[in-house]
Amino acid sequence: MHWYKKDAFIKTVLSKVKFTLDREAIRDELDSHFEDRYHYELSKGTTSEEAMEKSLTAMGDPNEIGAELNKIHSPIIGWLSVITSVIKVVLIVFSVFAFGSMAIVSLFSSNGVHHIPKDNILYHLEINEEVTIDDRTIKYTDIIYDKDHNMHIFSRNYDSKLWGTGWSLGSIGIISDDLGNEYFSGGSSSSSGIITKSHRKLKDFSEKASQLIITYDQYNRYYQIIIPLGELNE
Amino acid sequence: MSINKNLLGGSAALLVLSLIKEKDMYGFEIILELENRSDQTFQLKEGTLYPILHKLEKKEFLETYQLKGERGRKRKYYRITEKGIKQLDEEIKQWTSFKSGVQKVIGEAHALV
Repeated sequence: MHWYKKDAFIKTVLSKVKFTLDREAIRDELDSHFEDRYHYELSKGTTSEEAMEKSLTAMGDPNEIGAELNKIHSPIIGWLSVITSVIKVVLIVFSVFAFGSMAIVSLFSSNGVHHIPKDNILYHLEINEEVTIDDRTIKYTDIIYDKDHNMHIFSRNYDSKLWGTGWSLGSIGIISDDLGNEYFSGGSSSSSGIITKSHRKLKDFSEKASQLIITYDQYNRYYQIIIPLGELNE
Repeated sequence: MSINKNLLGGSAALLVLSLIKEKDMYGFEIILELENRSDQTFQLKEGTLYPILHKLEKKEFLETYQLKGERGRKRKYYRITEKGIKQLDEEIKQWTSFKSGVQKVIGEAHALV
């Protein structure tokens, strides 16, 4: 057998191809080509040595072929495409992981109601009022009135588009009661992922009020929620 | 009569795409087919076929897959893509107009003699 000549030929071709990652595929393809040509020649009745010589001659100049292949399998483009695929994979894995864990955290974490000691609570209303402004949905979940005359309003809001445009909720609106008092809320919100939880605390809320009114009227968006308040357990 | 590789130059893509459009082929099959059909006019050095094939693949005119051949060795088959079919139509148009242009000049030159 004279395979070493074939191997030398392929080696010369590959030595010209600078992008090493493509070498394996080129080697396989040329190898299989040699084998086909060799058996084709044998089938015409040539000796093994002649068949190999013919196969080599038919192939041409390995330096020339290698140089041509190198132009196409350019290392710059080759490595760029390897790097972009790696980056793509990393980004996909990262976003699946980040989005998934954020969704889980925000769905299961508490909305902060338990931060108020039970003994301080005069009444606790669980409500389910939902309003939507543009792509953002605000859901009011809990109203708690405490001994120190603080009214706590718990809500969560989320963007109904998966990756929202970043519309953020500056204010939930003007908070008043049925007696005509307006309240300024101090509040905190935690944005852990897709759902932002918000806790507004109104100081000195009138205990005589029987309705809590939230009015939002900004940027041509309007909504009003009227929440009947519980009886004070005094 | 055999034509050298440089003359074949630009039309190599046209020939290769036409053959592969008929059926999926591997490299050596393309060589044999070219030789048989053109009555040995195109005796492409076999090694130079691969840069052509790889370039067409890079341009997404061809795509590849692997199948095992008779002796169990994997062969890389080439298949034409939608983009490749469009490219082939374009090349055929160019070739036809080139051929008729050459024909006109040759015709007139001969008429003068």
